Amino acid sequence: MLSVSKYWVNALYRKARTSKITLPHGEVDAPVFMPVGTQGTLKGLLPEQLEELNCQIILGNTYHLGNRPGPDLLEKVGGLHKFMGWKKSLLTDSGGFQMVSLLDLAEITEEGVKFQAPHDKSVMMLTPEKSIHIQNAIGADIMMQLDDVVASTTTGPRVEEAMYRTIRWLDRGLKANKNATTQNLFPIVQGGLDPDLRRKCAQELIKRDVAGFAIGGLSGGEEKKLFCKMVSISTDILPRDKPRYLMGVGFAVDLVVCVALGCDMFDCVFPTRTARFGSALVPTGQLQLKKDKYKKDFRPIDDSCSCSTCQRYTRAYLHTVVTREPVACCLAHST
Amino acid sequence: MMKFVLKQVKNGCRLGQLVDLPKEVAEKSLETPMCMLYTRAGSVPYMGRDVLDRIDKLPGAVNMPIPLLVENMDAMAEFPGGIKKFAAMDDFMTYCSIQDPAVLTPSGYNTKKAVSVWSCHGKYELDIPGYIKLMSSLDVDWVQSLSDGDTDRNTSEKRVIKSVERTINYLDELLEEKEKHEKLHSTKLIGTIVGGYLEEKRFHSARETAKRPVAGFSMEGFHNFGPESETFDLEDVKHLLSKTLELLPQDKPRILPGLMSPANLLFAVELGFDILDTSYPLFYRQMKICSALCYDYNLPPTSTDNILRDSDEQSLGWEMDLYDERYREDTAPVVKSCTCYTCTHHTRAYINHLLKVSELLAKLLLNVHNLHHYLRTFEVIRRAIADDTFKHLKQHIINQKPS
Repeated sequence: MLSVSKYWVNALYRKARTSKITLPHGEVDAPVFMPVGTQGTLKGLLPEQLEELNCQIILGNTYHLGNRPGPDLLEKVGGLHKFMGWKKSLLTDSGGFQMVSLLDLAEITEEGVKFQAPHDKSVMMLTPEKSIHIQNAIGADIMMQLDDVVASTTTGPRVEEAMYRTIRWLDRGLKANKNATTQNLFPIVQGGLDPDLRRKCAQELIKRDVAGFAIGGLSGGEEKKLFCKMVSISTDILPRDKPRYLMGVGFAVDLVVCVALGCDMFDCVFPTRTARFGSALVPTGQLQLKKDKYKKDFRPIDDSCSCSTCQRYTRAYLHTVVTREPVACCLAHST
Repeated sequence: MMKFVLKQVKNGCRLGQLVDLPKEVAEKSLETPMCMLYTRAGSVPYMGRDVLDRIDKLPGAVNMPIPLLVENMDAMAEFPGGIKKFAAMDDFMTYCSIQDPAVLTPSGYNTKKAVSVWSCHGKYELDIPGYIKLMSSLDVDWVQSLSDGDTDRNTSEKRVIKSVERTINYLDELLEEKEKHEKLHSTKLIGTIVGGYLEEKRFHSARETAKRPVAGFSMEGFHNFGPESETFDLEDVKHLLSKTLELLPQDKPRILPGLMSPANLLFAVELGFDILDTSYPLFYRQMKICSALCYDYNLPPTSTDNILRDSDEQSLGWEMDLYDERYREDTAPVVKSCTCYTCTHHTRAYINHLLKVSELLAKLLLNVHNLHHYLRTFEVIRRAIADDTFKHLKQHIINQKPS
């Protein structure tokens, strides 16, 4: 059965908590922000640099990794950890989200998500079993179940259908997991913006023997008040001694609010993507480094930051290389 | 004040050293023949300092080509400490070349009064007063004198004469003007030898430049850099070069800029050049980098006993194209005996994957390996000169040239 990762709550402020999540590849101090390394790398950073930034867990995308390098190769080389030279923990999504968000032609049936592969236009089917099969080949410490995702603004019977289907797909996923002792499978709380459906879903999921939970289907442009309510309803029901991963939420303000609501794990491509477009994150917001006003600004990005970029380079220097020279992305400072 | 010391000349190859440098520079390798680190806007492509510092035995000298700096002149002028400090490279001896060795210089834009350099945003005309101002904001050890090396094999004699005259005139004016600025006393000028492929013109350029108080010489005017320097074959102009170099004083360093293939760099060393740069491993094939340098620079104990390479690597030539499907499942390091960060941490299969999905890290890892490989080649060359095995080493590397 599942190896329940040790998890304990150190402090509570209302619902907020700090904790240590013990995973096969080391401990993760939560609340934790997980940078997204879509294709087995984090935009121009060496795995060693990530470790030096004290990064304890990164996220890989099952859809992309399933395409290239593909589960066969990953299995052959002993998983993504080995393949990319990453010693700390890994989390993978189910692959379903990419299909729904990237592909026009996704059709969802009880069996799974049917979609047209963008590279050769062939029709493929991602089932809960297939998702776990790929994630087993990747070998992440935490895997996500395939869920039936609907836009958070959807209303009506489709939301209910998706919620119940998500629970059925969880059970299929749990059954398919070949590495139950080394890979933790997280269920996903669905139910749109309907408080009753959310509650029902959470209550059903906690009956399963799993090590942690995810809250999904949010942050798709819904009203902030409703968004917070849905998170809070979910965390009220989820057991206090297991980690909660709020999927797809990474903007600084949302992070703080959702920590207060009892979430522990977050992801978003936000920091690395902003770096690529020449912005740096600072406590007060963002610096658009290519703007002319930084031309003679001889301060570091952030006076209080200890990253190697802030230790060595000024805003003025970064202004000269940003979006132009191939060193720029590699100097991205991480928050 | 930094000096160049020539220690030994063996069969034309020169062993020397840059001396009297600050402690943090002197900890790096300053022996010649050397290759300066090639940078763009002050940084090695794809490498911030914390990645660069993972490469061992870095050379102590760096080239920061002016076209990539000129745009930020006003910021630099106000920044205390010059370009070195600005680019977090203040523990290197720094040289600024007038053109970018890795990129083709557009032809036809130099005048009697000014040399044109090209940044990403267009043309900058550098005249004597402008160049003096630039030099004082840069505040580096060596700056190349303004020069008109815009000549190649097809250039008319008239144009070649003009390029030689202009280059000497720029130098004279800069030397005179420089004296008036106290801040520039610690910056030394490197003279440029031009003259296209015409012997007399090149000799004249060399003789005249040698008379001036320059810190060293840069040999140019054969091509306009970038891909042209990659296809340029030094053997074709071997005699012209060796006779020109004879006209130069022994005790000053000779620089040969451009993308130097393994063969060219060996010819350059044999002709008596002291300083090249790392634009080749960092920038060759115009940055469409998917190849890793893999030629063997370890001299086999005897010519028939090639123990360090397996048969697979032997067939590869100088480089391997890691984009190739055959590396998809290859879990070996790029070069098995290599000690660089890339080869000790990652596999061919991983780099193959990164290249296929166009990830930035692919280029970083390849650049780390290629730079390491090229730097080690220089180390081996210096040892081979001292041990009198340079000729064997040269043959050994050239023999691996892909047919």
